[in-house]
Amino acid sequence: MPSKILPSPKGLWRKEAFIVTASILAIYLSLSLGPAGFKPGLALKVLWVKLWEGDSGISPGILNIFWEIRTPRVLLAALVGAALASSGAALQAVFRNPLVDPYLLGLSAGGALGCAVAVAWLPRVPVSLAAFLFAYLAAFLTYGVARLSGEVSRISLILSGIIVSAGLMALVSLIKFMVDPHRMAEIVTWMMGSFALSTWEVVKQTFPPVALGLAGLYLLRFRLNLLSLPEDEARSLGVSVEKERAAVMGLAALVVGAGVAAAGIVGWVGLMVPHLVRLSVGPDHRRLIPLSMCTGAGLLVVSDTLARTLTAFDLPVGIITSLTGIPFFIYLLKQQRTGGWEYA
Amino acid sequence: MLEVRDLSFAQILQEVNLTLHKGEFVVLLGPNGAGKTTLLKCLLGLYTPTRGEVLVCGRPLKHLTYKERARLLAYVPQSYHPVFPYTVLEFVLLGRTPHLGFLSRPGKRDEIKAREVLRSLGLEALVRRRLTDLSGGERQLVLFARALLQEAPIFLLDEPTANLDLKHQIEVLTTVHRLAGERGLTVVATLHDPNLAFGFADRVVLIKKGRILAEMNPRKHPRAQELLEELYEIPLEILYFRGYPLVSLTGAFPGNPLGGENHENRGHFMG
Repeated sequence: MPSKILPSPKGLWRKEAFIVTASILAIYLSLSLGPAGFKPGLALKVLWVKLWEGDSGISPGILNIFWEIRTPRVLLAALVGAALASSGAALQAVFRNPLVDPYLLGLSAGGALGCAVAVAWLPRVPVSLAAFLFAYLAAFLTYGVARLSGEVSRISLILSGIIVSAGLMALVSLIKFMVDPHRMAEIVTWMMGSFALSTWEVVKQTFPPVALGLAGLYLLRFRLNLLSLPEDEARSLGVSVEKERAAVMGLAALVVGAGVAAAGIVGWVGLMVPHLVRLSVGPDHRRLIPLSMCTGAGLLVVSDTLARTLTAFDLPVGIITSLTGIPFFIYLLKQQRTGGWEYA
Repeated sequence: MLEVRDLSFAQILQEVNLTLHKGEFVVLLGPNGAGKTTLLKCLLGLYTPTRGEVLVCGRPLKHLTYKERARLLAYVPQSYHPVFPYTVLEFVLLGRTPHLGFLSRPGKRDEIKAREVLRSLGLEALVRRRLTDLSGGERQLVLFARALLQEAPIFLLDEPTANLDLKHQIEVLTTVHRLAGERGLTVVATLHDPNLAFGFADRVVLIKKGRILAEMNPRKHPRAQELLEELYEIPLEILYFRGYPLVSLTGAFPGNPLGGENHENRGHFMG
């Protein structure tokens, strides 16, 4: 059965090259696409102007739109996409469950509560800061609740994630119920995920934690293969399972928390991208982690470009990712019947 | 090589004493729930004994780090269905972990070693196959290959023949036995089939209700039948054929003068 055999190293290398090139190309083309139409040359020209202080004769208005609005937005979508996809892959490994989502640790519900609290009662606190802090509080809470059962096991973490998320979302609903309708709209938009408010300021806040976390996940990529084994086996191979698992979860919480603070809750990317990459190159995390970063970045940038260009409105990007994610999973479900699920 | 002193674990193991010599092939035999697997996990340091201790090459196991343990003790779990479909090569390379730094990955030399080990097990054709596409027997050998890459002197196998058909049971045990001989490995395996235990082991250790019932020379033991009947609490007979003991269960079959209604008369074996 040749189809069951992994492609040769050469074939794998080609797939990797394709994924990386396609992601970079998608990001570049998204930079070139906007209300003023499709201008593939413009991005290069602006980079020339901004980075090397060259002169190109672009009007200051266009330069401004491109550099102050579109560029940070695309960069932020790329950062958040890379963060969600690679932490999704990492958490799926440590939980030994391909259906785990990076928001599992209560980060999305925590972020939502932070946003709701800030919008309702703390007008001076930036929403992103409140979301960031509450997302971490929620992750710690999840870990703490899991510890109540003694040993922190995979199943206790998944259960406590569900409990904490449900509890926090109930509080979010309470605030939405009480707050005045105008402000409620802000909470609702945030919870659908959007890059509409991206500025260089947000990029500067988001970059350090995301870069740090992504670097950590990248360095730990071989350990993820080990952590995806049954615990006894990993230990018998010399792995300190609790410590290393906690480290991976900490890094995932760091990048996802920063992503939630920057863009709200963007669904499906963290679940879908690792499946997509595994379908193509298999589950080895030495490849899966870096390629998930690329694919996640490319996919979320393209989704956000669709969100801002598809209609006259600036749609929440979470709607686009959900609408593309669901057919993809229906396709996976169909594959499952023919035995393809194992690759996902 | 490996020494167990007065080891007790919760209510499961009671005052177990056992010494394993270099190059020995020892089989643990006993009914379900007797504590075989628990003993194996205590030997690996996965469970911490409530009393007593385990010495590996003269050093107390509890003083060794996970990494040090992994260089001395290799664990071969029961074959299972993996969550992620790694290729055989990707999977066996995990066996190099105890020889790698925390942030490093297996390199070219590790890959060459992995291919050598797979060849010595006759698995070279599977190198690029996915774990999920292998048969139970193949997967068991792949788990053994991964353990070989740890380059540890002591091997602990948990029911390596579970869920395998006769052919694959023999294939797995023959391979393990051959490589253990070639490389001078010390092997402890738990098994359910006393015939296989007698065929492959240098020494058979009978475990019942958390205690060592007896240690047997598999070729000749004056009380073999008595001990096995006590171990499994069923009537059985031991026949000798070409120098090997054969455990026969015909006594327990319905319609047999020793089985059937007479079975009740032997109720004391039912414990």
